[in-house]
Amino acid sequence: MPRPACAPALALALALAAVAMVGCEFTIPAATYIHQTKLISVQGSVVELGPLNPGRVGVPSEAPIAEPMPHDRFAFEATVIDPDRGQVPASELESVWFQCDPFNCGVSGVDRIGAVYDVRCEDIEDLTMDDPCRLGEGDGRFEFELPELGPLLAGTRVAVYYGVIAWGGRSAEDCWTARRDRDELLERCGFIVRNVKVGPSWWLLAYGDSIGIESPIPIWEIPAAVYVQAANRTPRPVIDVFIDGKVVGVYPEQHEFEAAPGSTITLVPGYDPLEQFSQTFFVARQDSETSRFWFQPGQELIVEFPYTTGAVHAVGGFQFGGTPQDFVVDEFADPGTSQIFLVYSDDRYGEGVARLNFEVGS
Amino acid sequence: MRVEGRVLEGGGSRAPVPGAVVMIVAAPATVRPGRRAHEPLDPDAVTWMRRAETDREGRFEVAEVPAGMIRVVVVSGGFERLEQWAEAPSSGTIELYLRPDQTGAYRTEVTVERGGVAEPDHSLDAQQARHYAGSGDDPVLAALNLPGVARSPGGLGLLSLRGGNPTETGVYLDGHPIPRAFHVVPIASVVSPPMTDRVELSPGNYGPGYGSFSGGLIEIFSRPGRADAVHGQAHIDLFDLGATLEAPVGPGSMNFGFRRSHVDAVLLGVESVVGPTGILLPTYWDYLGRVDLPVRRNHHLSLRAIGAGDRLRGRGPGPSPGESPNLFDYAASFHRFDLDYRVDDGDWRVLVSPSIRLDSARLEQDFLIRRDATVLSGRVEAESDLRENLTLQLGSDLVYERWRRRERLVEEVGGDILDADQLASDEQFDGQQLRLGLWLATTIRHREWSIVPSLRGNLFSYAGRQLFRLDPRIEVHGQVRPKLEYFAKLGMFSIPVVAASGDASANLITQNGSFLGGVADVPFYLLAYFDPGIEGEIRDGSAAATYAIQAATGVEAKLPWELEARGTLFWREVIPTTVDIVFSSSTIERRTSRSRSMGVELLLRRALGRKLDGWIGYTLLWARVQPDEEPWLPAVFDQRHNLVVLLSAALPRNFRFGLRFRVVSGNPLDTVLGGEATNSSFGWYYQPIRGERGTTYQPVFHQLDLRVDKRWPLRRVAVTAYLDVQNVYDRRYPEVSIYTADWSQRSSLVGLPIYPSFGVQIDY
Repeated sequence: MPRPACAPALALALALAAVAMVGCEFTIPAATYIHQTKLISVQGSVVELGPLNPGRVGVPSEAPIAEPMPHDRFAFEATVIDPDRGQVPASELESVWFQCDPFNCGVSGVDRIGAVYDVRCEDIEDLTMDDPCRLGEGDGRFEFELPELGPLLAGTRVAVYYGVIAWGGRSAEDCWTARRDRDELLERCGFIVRNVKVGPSWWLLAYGDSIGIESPIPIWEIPAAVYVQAANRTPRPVIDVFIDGKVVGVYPEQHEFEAAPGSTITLVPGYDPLEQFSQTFFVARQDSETSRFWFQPGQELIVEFPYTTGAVHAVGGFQFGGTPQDFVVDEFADPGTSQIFLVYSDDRYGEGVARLNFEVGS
Repeated sequence: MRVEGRVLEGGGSRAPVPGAVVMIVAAPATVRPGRRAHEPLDPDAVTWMRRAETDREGRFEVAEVPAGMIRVVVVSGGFERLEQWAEAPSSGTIELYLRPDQTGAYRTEVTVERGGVAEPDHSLDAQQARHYAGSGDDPVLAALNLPGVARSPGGLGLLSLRGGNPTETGVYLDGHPIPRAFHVVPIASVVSPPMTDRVELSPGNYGPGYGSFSGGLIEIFSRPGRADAVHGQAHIDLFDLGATLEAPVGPGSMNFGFRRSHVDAVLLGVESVVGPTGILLPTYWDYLGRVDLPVRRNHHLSLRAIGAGDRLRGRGPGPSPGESPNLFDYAASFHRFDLDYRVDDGDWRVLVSPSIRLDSARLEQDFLIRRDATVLSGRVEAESDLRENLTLQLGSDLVYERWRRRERLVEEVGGDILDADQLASDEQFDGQQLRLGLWLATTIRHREWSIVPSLRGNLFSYAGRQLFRLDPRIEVHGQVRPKLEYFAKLGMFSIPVVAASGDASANLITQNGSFLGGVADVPFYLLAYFDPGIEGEIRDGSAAATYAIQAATGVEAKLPWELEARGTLFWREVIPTTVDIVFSSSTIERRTSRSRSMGVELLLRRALGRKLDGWIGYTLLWARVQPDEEPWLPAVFDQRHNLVVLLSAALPRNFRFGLRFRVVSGNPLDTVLGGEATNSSFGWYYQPIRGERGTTYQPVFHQLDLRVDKRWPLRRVAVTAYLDVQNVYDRRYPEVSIYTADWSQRSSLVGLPIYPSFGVQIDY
């Protein structure tokens, strides 16, 4: 049941007030500030189209396709930030990736049915996207080919992968073993349940129907017009950078900026309207009286979350796409480089990271 | 001349004092009638004296008194000596108020009944229990200090008995179930303390007149009004204010009391000055009224009306005109109306008690869930002493619930195919469930022994399934020595097992809720406490039944210095069963957990001390849970050692001093090892990765609470003020941990700081 994200927080405050009469010392680091090495993003993109419906690429664009079809070649790329060094190179990371059963992954699934992840995917005969298995290993980047569509995935149209990322000299295998044994602190390890939208849905359902998989919508109820829907692409923000109210540059043309201690940085992300228009997708809604589906066009929802290092601190946190984000530079900051990483994502799991460096002067 | 008067107990009671000795002697002409004589009577100065004794109504009459000023001296056991000026002849009746002897004003009475049909293990006099330190004037909270009851975090009203889940404890008020024993915030029981007569607790085996829960039973009894005169009580403390009124009604009496919190009014008042604070608004109220009438000889009728409610509001910043300022609004309440008809003809006794309860719960955010239920409850009991050594009891209890539910849901976010279940909707549906018990019990006495075998039949009708289960139970009591009693109890306790639609949680409180930039790791048992439990109803066809086996044996001894000791060995096992969770197109089998607890309870008490009373309670507990075919885990309330020292002492000048000291083992932890991210339509969120429960435990809890009462007994009223200070030496115990948003670091610990509570009470 969908609920506003803030409500539990308020209710929780009540609970804690009741339990503790607010008798505590709050020294929690801000969620936006990277104080120790941290996995902040895993981008997913199609690196090679498979044989199914190549026309889904839609309007040509440099933005990566984030919505694969079965038999596409797909890649995950982890972004791990060291508070002192910035982004950790992919070569210094290790990863293990698993394909999950669409309904069981993460805390509940991995703990409950962990043994199935010992099986390597290539050892499964007639492998489909429904079968939990071990996809393989990599560094910060991992490529694999999506297997055949399964009936469960046709129902959800969201593939679920489990990623184990290790850094700082720890092996991903060690992290995975510790994760399953649950008997030690999981330091220098990152764990991610990575959802990947598969489609476009209408092409996927039509393809499933062609190989005998029942569609949640009768195929004949899907109008031809919705097949023009293009594959989802990762959003590409253009960010106006203001320092103390003055424009100092535009990302991605410029990555490096200078900021004085005590100054205020404002990022104003924007998204190309034409590109966003080409991302129009359709939502099928069931009429509760007739049980028939009708289709409505929708615009994707983009959200942003900032992370900072060094002397820069975010004033806010989660924002809907295009909302200005304010940051402050420590008044007594020592000279050095600080960074802002703006993670942006759409509601079909397209995800990317904008990296901005700020040279804080004396 | 003639002098007439009446001797009454002062300080609001105004009960007549029979058998008091009244002496009248001459007094100087300058004294003022009605004033106390501060100089004590000089026996050598007595020239004449008249003497009388009060009758049952406290009245006295003295004839042949010389005209003029007189000194009246009243002496009665249990009261302070009174010397007061008066005038002869008296104009009307002189009222003389005696102050109770304060060395015995309050007495701790934890009584243990013996030999009846399945009497409770502990019975606590509510008015005395109000003065215990650390319980905030609440007798039900005071009962949590008894052996077998787990320490609850932050002083919350969680009733975990012998390591069981608090949701497995039966909560009854005057013979019928109530939805909850405590208001949510602040912590208070749903029955106002002045209206409470006693609290009975059975942490394990309970009588055949009750069923359907595996974790023990707590029953609260309301207090009938006094029939001698009009009395009342008013109180105010930091959280609430309330009043009671009791009076004779015909040959019987009435008693009515209400209470309402004022925290919300205070907060709103503060905000009108300092601006919005964002603090949530809690409101609670309760009332209880009862009329008790003797209908005819040995026939007694009681009518009761009981209600309680809570409301919590979370307010958003700057609401638009016309919009609700509440981000969420939760309210729950119940109203109950009972009839209680008793016949006690010496050798046989009958009780017939029907009750109707109206429940309502509502949670509104951008969605609305409202649940209304009508609960019919009935209890019929008949007991007869067939022979001197044989008592037969049989009876039936019924709880029938018919509910109606409304769900106004918003459209599900995300996804490109929205079927009918995912679209915005506004639906109403209803259902019903029933549990019926029939029981037969006998008490067989032979010499110093009594045996109470009983058999209870349970009919559960849940989710369209009817299940019948039998519960055989037996109790044995024996006076093995003049001051030593042995007891043993063994029984089965059938419980329904159901699967609910949804997750039966409205997420009012979430375990991983964000909190000031971090996440609070709220334990599951706290979620259960705050959760209104209105999201899910029982899924059609998804019902089964299982049972718990409980056993207890021990001794009770009377010791010198009015000390009593009780030792109990106990064992409880909840047997797993399989419940079918029925979906529209499939059925999933779910195996419930096996749970086992065992231990020792020790209670050393001084119940009747005139200056010092209280008890020392100790529980040694071992509680485990075994999820389906998995290794055994510690139960969430697996508190190995639990020691409570509770003392109350009468001091001079109407002061009373109370102390509570507790040392309790920490609960097992579901240790957080790290975080696990999930990408969603709204970015990433994190869940904790937990180690096996019990690999680490919370640290040992220890806390000292102190309380001082001061009573000012006046003629017609008594004023009492108390200061109850919890956690005197400010021990910060980590009840809840605050983690960084990604669960990678524990940053803060939340515990109860030193916490004073102040209240004033006026008795009329």
